[in-house]
Formats: sequence, C-alpha cells, structure tokens
Amino acid sequence: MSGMDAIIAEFLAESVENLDQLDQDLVSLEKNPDDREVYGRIFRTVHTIKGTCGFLAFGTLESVTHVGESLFGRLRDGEMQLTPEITTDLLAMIDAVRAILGNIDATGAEGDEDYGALVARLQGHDDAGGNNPKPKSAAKKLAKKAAPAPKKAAKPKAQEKALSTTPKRKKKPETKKAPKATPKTESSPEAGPGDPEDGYEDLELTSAPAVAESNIRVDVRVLDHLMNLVGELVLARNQLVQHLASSADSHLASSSQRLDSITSELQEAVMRTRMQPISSIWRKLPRFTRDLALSFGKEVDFEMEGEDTDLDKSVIEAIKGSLLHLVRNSVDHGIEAPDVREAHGKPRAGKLRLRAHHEGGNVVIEVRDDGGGLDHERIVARAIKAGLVTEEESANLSRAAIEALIFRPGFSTATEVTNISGRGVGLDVVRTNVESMGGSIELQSESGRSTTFRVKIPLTLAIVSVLLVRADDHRIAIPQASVVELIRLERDGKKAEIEDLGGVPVYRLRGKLLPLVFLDHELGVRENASPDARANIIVLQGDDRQFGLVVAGVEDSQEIVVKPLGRLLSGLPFAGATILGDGQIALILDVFRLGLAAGVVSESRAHTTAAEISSAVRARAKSERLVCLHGEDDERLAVDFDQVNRLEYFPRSSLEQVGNQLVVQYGDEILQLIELQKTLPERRKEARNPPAHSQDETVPVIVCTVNDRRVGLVAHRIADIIDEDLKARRAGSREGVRGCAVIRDRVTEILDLEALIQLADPSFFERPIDQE
Amino acid sequence: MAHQFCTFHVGDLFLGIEVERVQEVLRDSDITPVPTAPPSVRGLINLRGQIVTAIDLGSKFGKAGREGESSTVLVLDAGSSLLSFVVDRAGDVVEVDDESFEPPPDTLKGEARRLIRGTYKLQNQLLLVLDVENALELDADTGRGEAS
Repeated sequence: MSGMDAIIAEFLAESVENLDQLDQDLVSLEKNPDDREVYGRIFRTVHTIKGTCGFLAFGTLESVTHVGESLFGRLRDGEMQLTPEITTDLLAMIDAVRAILGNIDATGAEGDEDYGALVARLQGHDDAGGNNPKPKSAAKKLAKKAAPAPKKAAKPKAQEKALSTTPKRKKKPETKKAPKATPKTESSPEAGPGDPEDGYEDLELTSAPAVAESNIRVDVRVLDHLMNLVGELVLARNQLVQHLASSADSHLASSSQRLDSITSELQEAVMRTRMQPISSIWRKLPRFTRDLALSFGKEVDFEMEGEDTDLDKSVIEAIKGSLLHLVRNSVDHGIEAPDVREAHGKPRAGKLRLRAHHEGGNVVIEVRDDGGGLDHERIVARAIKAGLVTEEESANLSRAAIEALIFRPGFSTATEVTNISGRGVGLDVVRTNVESMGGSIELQSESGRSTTFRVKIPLTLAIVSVLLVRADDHRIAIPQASVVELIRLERDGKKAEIEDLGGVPVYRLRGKLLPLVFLDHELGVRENASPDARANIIVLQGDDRQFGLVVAGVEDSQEIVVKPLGRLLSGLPFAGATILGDGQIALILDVFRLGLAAGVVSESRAHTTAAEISSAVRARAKSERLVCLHGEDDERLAVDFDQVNRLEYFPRSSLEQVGNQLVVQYGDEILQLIELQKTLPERRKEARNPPAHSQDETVPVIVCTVNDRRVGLVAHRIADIIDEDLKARRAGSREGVRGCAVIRDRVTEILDLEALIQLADPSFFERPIDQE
Repeated sequence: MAHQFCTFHVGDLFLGIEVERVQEVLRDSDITPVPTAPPSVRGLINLRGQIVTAIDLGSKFGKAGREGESSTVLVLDAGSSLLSFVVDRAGDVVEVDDESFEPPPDTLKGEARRLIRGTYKLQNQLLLVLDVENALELDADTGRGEAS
C-alpha cells in the first residue's frame, strides 16, 4: 500500500464513521432543533471531510461538502432555522458523500455522478438564510462542470431518488409547516440513522466502503481484559499440562497438547490486537521534516527503515511526541546550514535517517543525522549559563558527562529561541518519557560527522522481561531493562570480595568501585547470616548511576504481565506485581526508587541544583564531595556535601537564644543552630568563648538536612568545597565524628551530623517536625 | 427498613459490612506479603488474575496479627479497584432493623471510634458496623486522620 493509498484508506474509514454519527446527529436535531452543540459537531465533521478531500483533490466531494458546511455554519450560528426540507437535503448530501466515498473506495475515483441539483438546492437554502457569495460561486462552478456532462447516474439509486424528490419539494419551498408531508427520511427518528426506504439499504449493500467494514474500533480496556484472561488461561494451561505429563492416558495427552498449542496461538493473537506498525506515526514525519527544513533554511533528505516494526498501541502513543522532538532536534541542531555543509565538504542536503528494529523484547528506534555532532564547548558553556554546572566542575567533566548534560532540564543550546525548538524543555522531557516506559535513550556523537539518538523501548508496556530473584521467602522481579550484568561472587577461602568504604559496602568491578545495596536489608526481611546467601550481585542502572544489588538467589528470567498495585501500596519501592506461572504473586522492583531509598541514587529529577550533577560526576570519579570548615583553633572539619542545603551568613545580631537553644529566623521557619565549638567533645572547655561573643559581624552557618529536619551548624569559617579521593581514612576519635581523612595534606575530621546533633540536643529527633 | 449485613469476627469483635458491598468471601487464600508495606497491609491476593490488596483488620483494631494463620478474606469492590479485608472468621448474613441502630457511645475512643460507624443491638450481642472508607484509609495508621 503506497503512502497515498494509506492516507485515503484512513480518510475513508474515518469519514464513514463520522457520517454515521452525522446521521444520528441530524435526526436528533429534528427532535431538539436548538442544540447548538450538535450543530457545532456536525459542522466540524463536514468541515473535516471537506478539508481532507480538498487536500486529496476530490473536487466533487469538496463542492458538495462545501455548501453543506456553509449551511451548517448558518444553522449553528442561529442565522437560520432547521426545517424538514433542509434536513432532507442535508441527509441527501450525506448520502451523496457516502456514495462518493463508496466510489473512491471501490475505484479510487469519485465517480461521475452529477450532484449539481443537490448542491443548487442546498445553495438555495443557504441563500434563503442570508447572502454568502462564496458558496454560490462554488455551486455555479459545479453546476457548470456538471452541465456539459449530463450523464445519467448509473447505479446509486439513492442519488436518483434524492434527485427525483426535488421537484416535489420545489413546489412548496417555503412551507415550513408541512412536517408530515415531507418524505420519510426524517419522519421516523426512532428508525435510526437514515431511512431504509429511501434507498439507504441499497446504498449500504452496494457501495458502503469496504474499508470501514473490515475495521472496528475496540476500547483498549476490552483488549486489556482479554489479555488478562488469556494470561490466566496460559497459567491454567501450564498447570494442566504439567499435571498431565505424568498421565498415561494418550487421549488426554493429545487433547492437552492441542489445548497447549491453541492457547499459545490465542495468546499471540490477542497480543497482536494491540500491535501497530511504527509507520502509523512515521508516515507524518517526511512532511514534518520537509516543513521544518524549509523553516530553518536547511536541506534534508529523509530516510526511513523498518517501518513495519510492530509496537504496542500504547507504546506508539507514548513515544510519538518524543520521536517528533528528536527529529525536530536533529533538523534544528544536528544538520548544519547548506553553506556550512558545503564548506565542510559534505553534500548540501543533510541526511536524516530513522531506523527501527526489534532487539530482544525491545524495539530500537534510531534517529541519525550526518550533521556536525555535538559541540562540547558550546554545551558546557550553555550548561554553565543555565546553572547546571559551575565553571570549576565543568573542567573535569568527561565526554559522557558533557553529553549527558543535554538531557538535563533547563538545557537548550539553540542560540536563538525558535518557535520550534530551543524552549528549554526538550530532551529532558524525551528522556523522562522514554524512561517512564521502561526504555532508555542513548546518544552517540561523532564530532563533525553525525549524531545518533538511540531509543530503546519495550515492545509493550504490559509485558516486561524480568529477572526473578529471591529475598528470604519473597520473590522479586527486576526489570531486565535495568539489569546491566550479573556477578557471581567466587569464594575461595578468602573473605568476601565485598569491601567496606567508610561503612558503605562496595565491590570492585573491573577496578571501579560499585556501591552495593542489600536487597534483604532494603526490604526489611530476615537477613540471612550465611555468606553464601549473598553470593550474587546484580548490577543495576538506576537513573544515571550504577549500583549493585546483592541478592540471595537468582532464579530465572521470565516474561511477565505487569499488574498495577493499588493506591494503598503506591509509596513502596515496587512498580507493580505479577502472577507467576504457579499462580504465586511476585513484586516488581522499582529500581530507581530502591536506589533512592538506599541512598545510592540521588533524586535528580526532583531538583536541578548544581549539587547533583556534581554528585553524578563525583560518582564517576569515585571521590567524595565535602564542605570543609575551619574551627577556631584552625582544626579542619568537613561535612558531607549531600547533607548540606545551603551555606548562609547571618548577622550576629539576628541570632537569638531561646531557652538553651540558639536559633535564627530562616525564611518562615525557626532554624535551630548548633555550635560546633560548644558541641564537640574535648572542645567544651573552650566554650567559654562562644562564637556569639566574637567580633565578626556575620556568622557562617551551614544549613543541613538530617533525617528530614533542618539544622544549622555554626562554624568559625567555611573554607572550601572539595572533591577528594579520600586517602588514609580512619575511624573517628571522638563522638560526633565519622572518621578522619587527609584532605589537602591536612588531617580533617568528617562530621557525623546525626551523632553531633544528638550530642547537642538529645531530644532533637524526637520533637515533631511541624513544631520546628 | 431492614438491612442485611455480612458479619465477621476480628479478635473478640463482632463486625458487619452491608452485604451489597461485599463481592465475595475467600477462605484459606494465599496472601503474598509485601515487604516495606505498612503493617496494616497483610499482602496481595491473586483473585483470578487480578491482584487485590489485603488489609489486615486485626492490625487496624490493634489486635496482634496472627501471621501464618489460615485467614478469611472479604473482597470488596472499592470503585476503581478491588480491596479486601483479612478477618479472623466470617459469620452469617444477618438482617437488622434500623430501629436497633445506635451511634457509637462517646466513650469509645481512639482508632476504634474511627472504624466503627455504629452498632445494631442484636438479641444476644452487638453488631458493630465497620466504616469501610475509614478502614481503607492507610493514614489512620499514622494517627493523622481526623477524628470523626
């Protein structure tokens, strides 16, 4: 089927559906002639058909609908009243449209019937209601066109009848009070759309478009229900087949085999009902690209490959916008202007290539342009301007980190804001969208040669390939899309290869440290003491970081049907549940949320501060980011950057003493302050000279969040924020200190905020939050 | 006016739900626990391919949970989804008269007050009417729900 044929087929199916609606609407209008809403709907329908057939160059159809549209416009605006005569003619018009559509469906052409009389009649109604010169000319044009070819309408009786009724009605054109005398078409609304006696039946039998007949629209929920039932059938089949495997009855065995194969086929067929070729969205792209290219002054050759790749309907709907965006992005930012291209020795026209193919249970869609690739310097400059990274940070960014920047919210490299792209929303939305479907997006860029976006999405949202693991008695399903690799720990007498880094378990994966999360611990189930129970590490991709999930046992890889958890369980680290082959329920892990709960993934989606890009960078560099403080005796202290909200300087006069607490007004809350000098053991004796009495005008305060509560640390001086590969760590020597490390050649104590706060104010964590 | 109530026992309480709200009663159904879920969620039930959250009424009323004990489950149609209550034992369907209804006494305090809408005085015992909406509300666990 060529592209044009597909468009026509779509137009036919849609129009026929709309026409049926139109019949009903018209009939209901007779009962209820003042319903403007229905007029509006009819007007829109006729308008759509007119517009589309104009585009497809169906002249006759256009002129018939045009005059109808104008008439409906008047009716809608209340300029005329609907009379039975008008209704009849309008219904005749709909029949005419249907007949023409039938011809188009059958022969591809409109047919050579003459609708001049009908148009003239409609025009007459229109003129009676006011003067509108435009439709008149259309009618004339058509009448003229029809005049030299007064062929007898060959087959559709409907038209003949519609035409033959004309003189009858012409005799009493102004008789508005003759409802009973008018033909049956509108006299029996309960007969439903159209009147069978008026040749409608013939019409339906002979020339109703076949396309419409072979398609029905089904509510997706019905399909979902079917899918659910088939899933259950498959389970029942599995149980039966297993049971019968030991049976000696050969008849039973052969029946079960038949049941087996039919069930599989049924399952496949039901799944297919939801599938659509990707071309259903791609079809619009060549035109879209052409328009884009024109408006940007670029030349683009558009190529598509793998249009017949099937995807679940819901996935297609969900991916549509993102795909348009990627194409837009490539034309706008990827492909250079023709002159620039020529200067670089490339053909003037850029090449934009879309490719889709299946890969495992996924569909991969590539959008590739042969443009200039990513300009790293411009990206960094832009990111600094947008406040995504600081200048110092940008110096250390790896290639991958820079490319990852373009997916961040608030980023846009377009130097000019065009009406199409460069509005600051874009690729980050695409990424969020793709990831919310369980997919991923990758970027490959070759400087000066090409940029490729590779979108990988699951075939269907309902069926996911998962890895089943065990945590105590629970079976947990991990989406394969998040699984990077599996590691089985070898035990050759040595202690576990899991190492401890400042209380955080890590694993050396090809020389890099991988933070570990214990599944049984995170889920709060019984922790199995035996080391063998933690013999597997599943490397997971959570957001833009990897972490290892330590599990007791890896069972199997399976395709499962995702079922939602109710709202009661919405806050948990599970994305849904599924029913396994044996009827047991397994929970589907939400990798991102688990990582968040375990603290190995930062909540980057929630806020776009410079803090977390640098923490992502930090994760790559495997160093820690600390805020360094100087104590009064020039001793060095440090606070984990992730716990710090802000650094503030308060005027000393604004500090207030409430009871035994030092507080300061901070926004609309009262921030409790903790004085490091006073609080840390061994320093207490020096508290005779608390900072509140020293000479400085302002007090540096580090505002931190500990267990969702805010607290301010009063320091002597805030020195620096550093990213450091911590060397020579050792445990802390006093309370409130997590450990020591050498930072910039000085031994620095890293504070344990929670313990510190406990020291200063033992009841801090017990007070309800809203009282603070 | 007479109403029909589906009755059940939770600990020493004799409770009832309007019979038309109860879709079905399951005995000995397999409940899959959900780690990290609030304590009042006993787990999930596979009801002919649909996954139904099972709320432990015992824990709602502050009766110690009896894990592993065979359980009776009342499945309710909660509008968009199915929900279910785990109870100790299902009773009969009883017919009660409106006249025998009384609101809960003012002295009834705490969580029970929120969960009980009133009581029907039966001949030899009191039938407590469960406030299904409040019982489905998980916030009650954290004590944040307003007292009715």
